[in-house]
Amino acid sequence: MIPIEQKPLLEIRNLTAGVESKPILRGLNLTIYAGETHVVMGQNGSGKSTLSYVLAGKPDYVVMEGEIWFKGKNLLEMSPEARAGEGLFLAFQYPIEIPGLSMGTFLKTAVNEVRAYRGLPSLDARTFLALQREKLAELGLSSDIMGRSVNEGFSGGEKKKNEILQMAMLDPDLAILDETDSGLDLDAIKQVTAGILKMKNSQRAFLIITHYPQIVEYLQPDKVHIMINGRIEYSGGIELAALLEKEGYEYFKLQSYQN
Amino acid sequence: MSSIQISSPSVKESYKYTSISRLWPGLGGQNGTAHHSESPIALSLTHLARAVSEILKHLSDPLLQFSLLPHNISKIQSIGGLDAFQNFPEHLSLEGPQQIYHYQLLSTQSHSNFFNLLVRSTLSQPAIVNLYAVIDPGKNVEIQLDCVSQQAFPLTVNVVFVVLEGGHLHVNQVLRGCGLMRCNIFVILHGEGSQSHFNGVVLSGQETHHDLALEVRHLARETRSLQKVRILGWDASVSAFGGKIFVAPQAPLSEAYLEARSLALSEESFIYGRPFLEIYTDNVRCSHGYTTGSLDENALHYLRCRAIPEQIARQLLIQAFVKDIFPSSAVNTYPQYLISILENHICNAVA
Repeated sequence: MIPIEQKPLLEIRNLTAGVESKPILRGLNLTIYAGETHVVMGQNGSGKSTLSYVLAGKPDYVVMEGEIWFKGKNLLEMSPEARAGEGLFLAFQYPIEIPGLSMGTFLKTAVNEVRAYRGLPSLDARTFLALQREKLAELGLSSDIMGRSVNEGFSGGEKKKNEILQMAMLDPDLAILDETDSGLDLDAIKQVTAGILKMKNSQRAFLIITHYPQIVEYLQPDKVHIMINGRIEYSGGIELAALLEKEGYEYFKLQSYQN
Repeated sequence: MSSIQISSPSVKESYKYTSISRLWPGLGGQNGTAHHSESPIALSLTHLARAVSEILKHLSDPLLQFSLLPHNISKIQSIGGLDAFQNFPEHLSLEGPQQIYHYQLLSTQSHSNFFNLLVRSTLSQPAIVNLYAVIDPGKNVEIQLDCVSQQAFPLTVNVVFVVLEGGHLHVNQVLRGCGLMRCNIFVILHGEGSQSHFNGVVLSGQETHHDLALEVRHLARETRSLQKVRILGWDASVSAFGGKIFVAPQAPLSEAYLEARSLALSEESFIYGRPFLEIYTDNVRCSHGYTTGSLDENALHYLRCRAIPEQIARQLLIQAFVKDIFPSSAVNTYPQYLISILENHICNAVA
């Protein structure tokens, strides 16, 4: 139950955005409060990943209309790094490989930049290593990955777990997970889900983009949204995911056209 | 006619100098023991001729001999000392004609199998620096080459490595500075089973013109070479890379790989690359490739999404691009010297 006076953590109003002059999101509205978990489902090409990129500030995505407010601030006026500093985290669907940049250097730089943005001192080496060890253990990752280049040579599961590791280390207020469960085996999905569940609290919200009802079952989200043609057409509880699994997207598209 | 005079360093410092005393034990040291010297040692033409003959023994190609070995030398001076660590101090100035010759017969007089050599030539007037090194059978030699031109004078660096039977050569090189610089590197895998690994980085900026020509000649069977080159072009700089692998008829069962990549970091920079393969025998494994591009915007966005400011993200990505070719070594910390140079250069360039 959301208290009436609580302000939204994220508020998207009438968002139209796309690449170059081609709109992909068409008048999207979404409101997320702290402590909530939202799941967005939709067919390929419906605009789910575009939503995540626009929220993260990817330069080649253009906002043509609408507003996005995050913690009461205009998100569209912020650089990608400022958004991350404010507490917005995107777990990428396809994590980028960066040969030559070690995970250790990358993660320590990221953690200390987030802390600097929030006016906190940098973590000393001992504290950072202790935090890193704890988070690695929770995800069942070997500490060897810290000496490897970012995502280079990682298996599909390692890449996705690495995104969750970064999320855990950066301590965001809103985590957007773009198909983090894609390509994972059952055990890996459980580990990733456990990592998410462990981070759930009353101050933090999750926006999870997925194709699979399995993760909905594990996470028990507060809301499930179905995206069709760049808009959120249906919102509901987890029963919506069950209906989607039973009827398929065509059913919802037909309903949408009839309305 | 050419001669060289090297002024003594004006400030006392702790550099060690490698002498040619491995070629001529009577020079530059007492009974072959290591010592420091800040005074130039004059060498006669006879000494030079002996050094040249040592190199010539290992160069089978007459054209190569002619193009690489010194001509018309009347006098040469070098700085004495005996150590496997070589460095010219930064305040060293060359007052006269402009050629420096280094000759190294690496490891001939040592019981060790592993050597490090750091050659850093910082020059303040037009010059040609020549380095000739022979890697003895079965020896491992790791060489760090730091080629810097400090002012807008032309600088040419010629390097010849001859690797004998079972010898392993590992070269890490950085080419940087201002003005016009040409670096010719010849690696001659002369002995059966010899190997070389070359990592080179070219750092070009402002209006510099840097030219790296690398040629690896496989002259014996079962030789192996791996070449990795990275080029960074800022501002209105021009960089050129020519990489050639030559596999002789007498070198079957050899392996040779060349991988060169460059980053154009401004719209005004020009980078040219030409990889060559010349193979005259069967049953070899060879590949060569060259790419040019700009910084990966997706990788940049990935780092920025982790709260890393754009400028630092660019630094990290450019450093990663070049550091990728320097393997971390548990036994050798000298590459760190070059890596720190790269990091500082990139930080300044991006800032």
